[in-house]
Amino acid sequence: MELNYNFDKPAVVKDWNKSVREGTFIPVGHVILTYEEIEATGASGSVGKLQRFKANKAGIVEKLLVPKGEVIKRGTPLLLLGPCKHPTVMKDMCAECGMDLRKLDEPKQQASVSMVHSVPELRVSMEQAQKLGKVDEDRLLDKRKLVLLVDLDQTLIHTTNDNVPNNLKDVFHFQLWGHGTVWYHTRIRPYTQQFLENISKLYELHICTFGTRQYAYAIAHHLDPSKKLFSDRILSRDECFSQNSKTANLKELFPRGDHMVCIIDDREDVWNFAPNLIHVKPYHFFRHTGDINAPPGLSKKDQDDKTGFQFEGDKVDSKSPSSSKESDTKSGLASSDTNDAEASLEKLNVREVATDLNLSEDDESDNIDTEKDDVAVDADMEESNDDELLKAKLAVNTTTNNVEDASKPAQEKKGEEEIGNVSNDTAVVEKANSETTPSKIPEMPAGEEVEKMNSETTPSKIPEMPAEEEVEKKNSETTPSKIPEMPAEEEVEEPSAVPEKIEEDGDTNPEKLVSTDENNTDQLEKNIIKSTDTETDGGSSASKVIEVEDPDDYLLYLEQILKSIHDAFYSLYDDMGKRKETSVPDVKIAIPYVRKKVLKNFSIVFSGVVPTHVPLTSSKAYQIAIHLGAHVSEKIIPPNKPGSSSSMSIETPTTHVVAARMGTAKVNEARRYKGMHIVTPEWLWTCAERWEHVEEKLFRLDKAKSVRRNPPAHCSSPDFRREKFEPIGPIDGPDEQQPSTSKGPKPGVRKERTPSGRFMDSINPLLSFSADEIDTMAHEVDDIINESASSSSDDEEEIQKEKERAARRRSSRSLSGQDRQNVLEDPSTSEMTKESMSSSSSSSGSSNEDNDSAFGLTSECHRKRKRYQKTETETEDEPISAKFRRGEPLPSDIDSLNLMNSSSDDDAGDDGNGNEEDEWMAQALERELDDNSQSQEGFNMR
Amino acid sequence: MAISMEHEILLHPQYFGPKLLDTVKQKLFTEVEGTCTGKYGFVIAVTTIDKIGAGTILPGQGFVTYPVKYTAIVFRPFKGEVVDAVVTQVNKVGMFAEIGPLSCFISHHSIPAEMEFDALATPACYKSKDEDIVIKQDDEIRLKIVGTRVDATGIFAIGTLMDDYLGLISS
Repeated sequence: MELNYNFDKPAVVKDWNKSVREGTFIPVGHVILTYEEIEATGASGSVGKLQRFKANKAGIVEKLLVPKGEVIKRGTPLLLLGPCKHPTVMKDMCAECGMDLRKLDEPKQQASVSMVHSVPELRVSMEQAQKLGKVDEDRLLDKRKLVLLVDLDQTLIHTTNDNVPNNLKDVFHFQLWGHGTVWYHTRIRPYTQQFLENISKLYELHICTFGTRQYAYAIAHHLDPSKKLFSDRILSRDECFSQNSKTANLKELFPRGDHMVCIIDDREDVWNFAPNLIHVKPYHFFRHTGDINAPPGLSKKDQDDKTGFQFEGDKVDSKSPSSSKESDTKSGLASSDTNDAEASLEKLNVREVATDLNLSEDDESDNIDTEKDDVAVDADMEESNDDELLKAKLAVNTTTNNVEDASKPAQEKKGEEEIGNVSNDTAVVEKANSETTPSKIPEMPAGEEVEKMNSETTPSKIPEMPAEEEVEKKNSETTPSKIPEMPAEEEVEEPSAVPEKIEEDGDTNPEKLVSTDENNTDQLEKNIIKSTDTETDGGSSASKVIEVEDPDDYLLYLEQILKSIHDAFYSLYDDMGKRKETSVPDVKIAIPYVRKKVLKNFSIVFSGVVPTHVPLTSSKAYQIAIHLGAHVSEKIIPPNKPGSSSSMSIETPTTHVVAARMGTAKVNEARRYKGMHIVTPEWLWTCAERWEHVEEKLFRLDKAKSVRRNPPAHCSSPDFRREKFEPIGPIDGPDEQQPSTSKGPKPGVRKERTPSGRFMDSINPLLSFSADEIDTMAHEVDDIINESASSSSDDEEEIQKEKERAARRRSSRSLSGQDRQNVLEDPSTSEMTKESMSSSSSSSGSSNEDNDSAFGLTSECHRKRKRYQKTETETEDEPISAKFRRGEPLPSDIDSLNLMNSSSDDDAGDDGNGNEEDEWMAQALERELDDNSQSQEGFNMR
Repeated sequence: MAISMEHEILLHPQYFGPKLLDTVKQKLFTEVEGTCTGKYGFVIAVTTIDKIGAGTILPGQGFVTYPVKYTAIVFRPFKGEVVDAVVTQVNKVGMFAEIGPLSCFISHHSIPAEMEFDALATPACYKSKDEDIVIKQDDEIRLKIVGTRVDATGIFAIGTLMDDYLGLISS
């Protein structure tokens, strides 16, 4: 294709535009050369002034056809142009030449890279992308910045759809889809503004969220109204290529690679556990709400109901959808009497949940009954509001009794059930709650009135109050229509029920009173504060109605982390610059480098932290320590004689013993050395969370402390977690099971872990175990059993049988039919299935096993454990005496642990009261085994 | 550009009454204005209603359809047309602009080479080297349309600033 001179008058080419070179693209209208018109008669009479000749076609310059100074006439070819390669495409139209690419037959398009966050339709070719990326990179280097991809949900903010009081500080409310649609309530993480402000000096901030585009923009607008921080660099779900991974977009946004990209997110899986990800501690403010924008099927449920603040009475209902109707209604009633005044508010939830869970009509009617009770209560409360304090109290008391009375039958059973179920069920119910949110939304405006009212009362009231009042108000509206029903409920008074109740729910009681007559009571409000403090168990010491004290200060640490990464990166860059290297360092190197400095020069020994059946090097704690740069050894290396142990090479002496409990051999040994820190695993987790060496004094091991053996999810280091999610299949499955097949002595002690501290509990095993795998595990175990069955002694066989009966029930759920036969003969299979069962039930909720694991203090449970251990050890090919010795001290471990938790013991050296002998034996055995370096590894904790 | 067009109005029987024709007119306005057709482009405003034909009752429903002839101002962008637009977004690949209902993209190649993208400025902008011309969001520019895509819901255009008298309109 030629580009011709198309004017009538001949002209002289004065100069070519410098940008017109071979291989460059010229769009229509691009100036290609300057020329001077000349008279047709002679070259001498150059009259015209300098003019610019512009391209009338777009394309790639292949050749310049006219040299400078040549005379051109109409039709003279100036340039040889190749066809436009359509390097920039917008909605299938070439943005350079305007051609409609859909009309072309070429299916393959050059432009494939979507470089702009908000406009995925706009694509550029790889070449272009590289060019643009280079410009970006140079600019960043010039300004000494890095790129930071910021996640929103649970990183900087926490959003809920639940109904919350609308006068909370730092919570803003918005609707995305117009009037009458879902309300979003977003809490900004403490220090966010400061964090963004400071960090934007070092990083170019991009938002990367799984929220919808409107959501992301709404949040971004709130965080950054002037668009100084994020500008248009917002990537939302609408632009994400993959439904549950953000990694795919990375290559497009940063065509030159992510070597300058740092990511902060509360979850690693969506980033495919990238090494440049800083896994932040998830921010959790609204109780019972997780990440509302979690990718489908990947929502985290772990701690939604354990942390965060609560604004509704959310002991709500200990109902479990899966349990029987009866218990449902009973617990419903129970909840109504537990938190009487709160129940009036809860009733809304109760009803909605009930309908939403598609419970039978019976349930609903029962729930409505409770509602009536509440209405009755509230009606009385309303009346009493204007009266004097005494009267009010009286009224409340009577009404309380009524409710109490109505639900009394349920009360007796309630206690245990409730405790057992709460932990699991609230999560489920909560989910249902959030689903029902839209229907609750219209109630929101009621909060405004609340605000007014509250402003008159003391500021020291609790966030819950408004909500209560709101409901109260609603109730007062509804009261007239329901008054006829009141007498039915008010018939009997049972004063004796009151103390009983106070016993049970001592702290909620004062609140009831106050909520009724809050306008005229001052003393009682003090009570309220106490009671709600205990209730909003997220550790809030609520101070004002509006302001909620939020202990979360993670962003301050994160800021430090990011700063040090930035420093590390640019010092690397400067070093490279000095060495005249042109390449740019990689953040993926800088981040691990920074992390490794945290615990550099420390040597850690774990004791009671790593389960014995897990090899030290594959345990989470080990990985975390290693990633923090610490040295981890199996045995304590005395400070004065480093490298003394025979097999080990020269090593730094142990500086820290991370122990989960007192009294282990290593702890005792460490005590002998001065200056050796004995700390709880929390210390390590905190170090990992903050990337800094935290003061050991805060984490001294003492016996009263309950410790988490499992690191919180956000502490785990990417490299380690990655293998767990590798497509090949779950590694934990084999990890958990293989030791039982290959390494003999290990499985016998598996059960000695505390139930709550189990490794499997922290990660949802349902993610990783398929039915097939469980089957294969069972088979593996069958094999062992067959081998070792001969060695089992008679009396233990009896125990075995007894065990089997219990095991059958448990295992029948997770094992397919073909394995049942085996299970009958096989205690360790049942044990294993129990383990998988119980951990799986932690996610599915409401099963008995979970109660065991969560509250494994019941004696029955103990007996089982002991037997398990006995029967299991017996499966190994070892002398019975050894088995016995081994089996004997183990239960004492559990006992002592439990006793530790109960904190009743006052003995400093020993943590078991009644089991001192057992304890002594355990320690003796431990020492003995410690000396015997071969076998000790399998048996006791490190 | 005023174009004569036709549209059918479907009317519910509840509107049958003295103000029936008013309702038809009203309905025409709401149904037609602001829409976009491939043939005529955007219907900006109905100027006159030329004829409301005889209504036909739909059997079995009771609804009535009226064929309406009307004249409306339409906006149909053409290739080569020079229009004034408002910049809506500026990024490193180019900029987006709106010509009333029509959105338009201008590639950075189609922005004069002396204008450079400045990502650090807030808001991001294209500015010439001596910084006397700055194109940023909400600025008015004059551009030439080099291509259009028309689909059922709207029209999208590709524009350029590479011609004389195109670019920032200094008011």
